[in-house]
Amino acid sequence: MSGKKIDVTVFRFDPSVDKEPYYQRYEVPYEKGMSAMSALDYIYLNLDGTLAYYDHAACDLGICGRCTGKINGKTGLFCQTVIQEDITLEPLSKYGIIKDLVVGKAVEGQE
Amino acid sequence: MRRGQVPWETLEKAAAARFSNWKYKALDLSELGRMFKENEPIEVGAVVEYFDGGIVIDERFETGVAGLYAAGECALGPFGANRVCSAITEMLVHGADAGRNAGEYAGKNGTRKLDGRAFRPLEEEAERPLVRQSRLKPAQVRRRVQEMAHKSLGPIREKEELTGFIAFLDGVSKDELPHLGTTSKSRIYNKEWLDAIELRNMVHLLKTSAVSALHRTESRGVHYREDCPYTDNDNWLQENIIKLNNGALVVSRRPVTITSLMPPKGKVPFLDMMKKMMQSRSDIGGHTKKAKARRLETKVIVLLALCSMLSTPCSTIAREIACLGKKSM
Repeated sequence: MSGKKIDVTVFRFDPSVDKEPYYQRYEVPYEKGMSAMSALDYIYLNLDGTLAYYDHAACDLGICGRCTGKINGKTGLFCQTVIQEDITLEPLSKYGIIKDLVVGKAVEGQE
Repeated sequence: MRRGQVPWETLEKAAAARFSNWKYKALDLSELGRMFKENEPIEVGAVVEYFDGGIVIDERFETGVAGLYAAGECALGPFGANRVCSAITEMLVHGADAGRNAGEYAGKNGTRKLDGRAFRPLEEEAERPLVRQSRLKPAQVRRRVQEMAHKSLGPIREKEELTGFIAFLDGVSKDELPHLGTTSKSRIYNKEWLDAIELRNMVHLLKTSAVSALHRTESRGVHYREDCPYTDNDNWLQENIIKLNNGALVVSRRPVTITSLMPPKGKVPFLDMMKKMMQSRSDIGGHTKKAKARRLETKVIVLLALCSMLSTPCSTIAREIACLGKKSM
């Protein structure tokens, strides 16, 4: 462990409570080869149990595509994106959000 | 292991046929390729890809509960759970048959009017983590259970370890499950709430698996007992059936149905048998030059598949059990 920490900024929105989406920043210990998914797992397990995202029950290999989202604005798979420095994680679409990074059926024609 | 005497060009060619540019799906295996090239030692190990066993059903897909049918991966089938591709065929065939039979049953027996009050205790039980003020968070307990399952209930098992694991699960059931509480009380995609509900099923199914594994004092298929390293066809051409009876898991056995090919009698050392099987298989064995090349290719593929599995995070097994739990709810 190098002791290095990175800032992971996550899109938050609970349509049942929040008027507007907002961004929350978490400090996560850096580990070589860690993925955006491992950062989310770390946050959920250790920092904030209210965070919603699709974690992996089985795949975690980039096959199922369930964890598709935006990493620093670029579309990718959270489980396959290796991170090295501060990042921002957002849902693929800002429409049809169920909670945070969990998106239901995106409205057609919008993103 | 190492590449050893195998020429790098041969290995590279064999790998390229299946894993072009050292890529498997989205996995980058180039580091593994480099290690092969430099002939560095590579660590390999047994991992879990799928899990055998399931809900006992009859030929009509009916369970031990009259009118309740099970189909697909959660049921007893040839592919176990989490064989995503193979299981699809099974799911479709099972599902169609089970659905038809369930329809027939309902047609004959009619549907009963249910008293809504019967569901209240179940609802209350499910809602408890949501209303409870507690600092015991479901996610941490779940992760601990997964890690323990990974350690104790992998393909390689042993008596003491299994006994300890069962005691650990009993401890979780008694001291932790009744005290789980979620941070957020929201009902919308509340991961902690899902974790708390699933955890109960996970612990229950893990215990069922561990009890069965402890009971089977031989090695067979994906169950290797370090303390019983023999396949025992005299005593163990049997299936374990685990039944919940007044809160206790009761183990019974039934003989397997043998249709045409009789397994050899007696006790056979498991690891020797596996080695012989690998050597005698026509598609990987034989004496011709071509067969030799194929054998090497197969070994590389097996190895690469193993290595690719190694890079997945641990706790796969508990997660698979969790899937089972979800499906059998």
